[in-house]
Amino acid sequence: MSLFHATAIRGALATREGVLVGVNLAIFAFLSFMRPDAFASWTNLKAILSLMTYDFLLAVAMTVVLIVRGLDLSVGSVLALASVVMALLLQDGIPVVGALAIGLLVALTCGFLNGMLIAKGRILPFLVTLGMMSIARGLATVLTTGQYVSFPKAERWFTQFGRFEFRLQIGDSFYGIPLPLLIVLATVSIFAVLLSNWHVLARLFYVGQGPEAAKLSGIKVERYTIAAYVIAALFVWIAAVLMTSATRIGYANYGIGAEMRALAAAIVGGASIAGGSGSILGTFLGVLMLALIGNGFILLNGDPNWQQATFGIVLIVAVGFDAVRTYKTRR
Amino acid sequence: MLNVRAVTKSFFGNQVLHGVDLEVREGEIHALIGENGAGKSTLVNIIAGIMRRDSGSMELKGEPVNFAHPLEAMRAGISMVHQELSLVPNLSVAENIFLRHESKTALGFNDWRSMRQTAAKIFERMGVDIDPAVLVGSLSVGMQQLVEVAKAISFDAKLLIMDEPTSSLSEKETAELFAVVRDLRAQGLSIVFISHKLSELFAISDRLTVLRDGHHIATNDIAQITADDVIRMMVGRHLGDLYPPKAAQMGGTVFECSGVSRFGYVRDLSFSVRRGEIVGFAGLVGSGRTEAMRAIIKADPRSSGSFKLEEKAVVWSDPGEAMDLGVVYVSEDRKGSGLFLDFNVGRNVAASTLKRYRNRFGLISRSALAEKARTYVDMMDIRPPNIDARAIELSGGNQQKVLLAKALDCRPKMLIVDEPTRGVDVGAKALIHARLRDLANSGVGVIIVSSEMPEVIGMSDRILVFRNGEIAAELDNRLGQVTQEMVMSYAAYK
Repeated sequence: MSLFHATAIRGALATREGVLVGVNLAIFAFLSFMRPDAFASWTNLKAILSLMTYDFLLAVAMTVVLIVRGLDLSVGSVLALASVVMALLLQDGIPVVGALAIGLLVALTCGFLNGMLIAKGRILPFLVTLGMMSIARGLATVLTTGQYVSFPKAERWFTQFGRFEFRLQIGDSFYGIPLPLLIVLATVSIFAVLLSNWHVLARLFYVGQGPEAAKLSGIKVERYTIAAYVIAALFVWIAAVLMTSATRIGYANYGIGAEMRALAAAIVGGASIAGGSGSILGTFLGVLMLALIGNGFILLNGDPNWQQATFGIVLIVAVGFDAVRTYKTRR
Repeated sequence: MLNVRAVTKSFFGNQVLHGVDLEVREGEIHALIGENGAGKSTLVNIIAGIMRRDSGSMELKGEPVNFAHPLEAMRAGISMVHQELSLVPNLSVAENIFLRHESKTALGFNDWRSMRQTAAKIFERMGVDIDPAVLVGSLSVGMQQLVEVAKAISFDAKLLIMDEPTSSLSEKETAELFAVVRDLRAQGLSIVFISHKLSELFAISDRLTVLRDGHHIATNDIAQITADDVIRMMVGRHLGDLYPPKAAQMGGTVFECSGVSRFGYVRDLSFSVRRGEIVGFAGLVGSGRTEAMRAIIKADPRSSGSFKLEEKAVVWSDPGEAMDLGVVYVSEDRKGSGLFLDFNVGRNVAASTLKRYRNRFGLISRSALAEKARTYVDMMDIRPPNIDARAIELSGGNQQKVLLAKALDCRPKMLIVDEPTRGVDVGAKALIHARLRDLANSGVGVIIVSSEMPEVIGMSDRILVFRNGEIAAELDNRLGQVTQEMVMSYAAYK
């Protein structure tokens, strides 16, 4: 009995995650074969997992807005703005908790404005969030004049935890498990369970599947749409905190091009531009796929610029499949 | 003229046509009727080259034909007018008619002047007055349907297939369409006409073929059979009385609406509904009934209006709050604003009531939800009886049943259903009617908005005739004495 999970796009989605696991395994096997020395080492795998932590959070944010038939191009630049604001406050000696809270407020305000303009102002999500993308990035640059912002005075735990690793001993070898990765997996897992099992969040799918039908079914469509953008901003803020802690700097150029990867990963993972579908597990597998592809380019000495082009291709192919799927079901 | 023999067709191992025959003569209107799922649409799709048959043969004017593509069928003289309009609203009438078979000038550009002239000629031949230069979106649904017909015959059609062309037309528009169809017959065209409305089929067709479960049941001259015969052949059983009995007893006023206005649509609307009563809102398409209902539940804005539910004054600011109080509206547009098409039956039924299906952790209880969905599948006889089937996969009748189940799950005190059986087969229709009457008998007030006159009269204890955003007449129908003529005389613009 799978009333909620797999049945949204029954079969297709159920097998989609299966297919994605297969694709990831295939890439994994290919890279292990091509670079047995470098790829399968724990150092390399850890690097992949650490790097994808941020992309995963942004892709979850993107998934949430896609579910309500939205789009958020501002995830990367709101990350930068939140990071810069928190770093500047820490530099001035504001306590960590206060700095993080103000950073959260900034991110949520951006999300709220996005949601208001889209839900109440009836402006296309593409336009609103494209504008926000520019505003947030611009503000971040103005605040820092484009410089790195370090915060040597900040409390030590904050500058430590982003790099903290649990040491795990298996046999004779030690494996370091990054704390941020665990935090993200835990947070997002809880969110994934709530998204499909808590009636409040489950309503997001109805809003995206048929806004007019949702309205006549008694769902407050505008409120839920705004909430989706605010939730997205929350995940962006978590990414900003982890990134700022791990790098020990705030920087206005964080997350450039991240919206593209987030969108590609979410759609590969089963979210649809047409709204009403998306799964966190699928999004995770989508992010993993992009991360493996990116790593592959580095290991196989490909021109790193090809990475970006490849992600673009993945996005277009995924959107193409999505369009065909939507066409078939909605005719 | 067209001779179809022993055609079979299966989808994924599910056989929908079991060797069906159909013979259409030159210059006749041939009605095709059957419950949803009987195979009508599949059969005409095969004739029009949209689907391919598995086996069997087809002859057009004595020549064996086998179309691989709709364009081949069109070139051979077979055109189809689809149930749902396929016109592009932002293009002109002429552009729509000649879409994908434009006339070209010597330089290879589209020759709009000649196309407009040809379009005008087609309309002249149909005896209708439509300007080929206006945008399709500016025309009424009835006019658009006529443009569809023009588009179909612009291929120099010999055989025109019409799949439920009247499902969204008012009576007046239907009459206009019929005049055109008769005109085309007089010019020698053959027409295959699919409809669920028996009275229409008897009014327009020469012969009638009944399909049931993918089998050809009978073909008769229309003069030799009665509506009862046809219904019996369609369902293979007697439906008895077509409509359930009127209210046995009614309670006090359950819902009172006073002074609802929405500028340009509804003017100072007041009425009340009693417990156990079914009130029919009759009127022409465009008379403002749907707009009035949407304004009442605040799906659309209104400038005034106050309400009493069970004698107590109530207010709400959106459809959700109205629903929480017990006033539930079911949309006329099941695909556009009723159902969540990609979602399964269970998820659709619980759309308004998710909150109720919680386990002790406060999360959605899948077992409680599935159990509830299964009760509705049984109660509404939803087919296939599978709560995991997606709404889009269901036939129109079953979609309508799911939509009604979703409303029932809100436990309404006042249920407003808008066009509850539009384009729905006889069996599903009877079931929906029976459930609506059951609901009224359990003490709920029910409003049925319908453009189908027999439905309003057959179902309602009282009929309010809507005209131009206002109630033009109130007719007591507890003894079933209201006639179509009476309703029409108030509904029509004078």
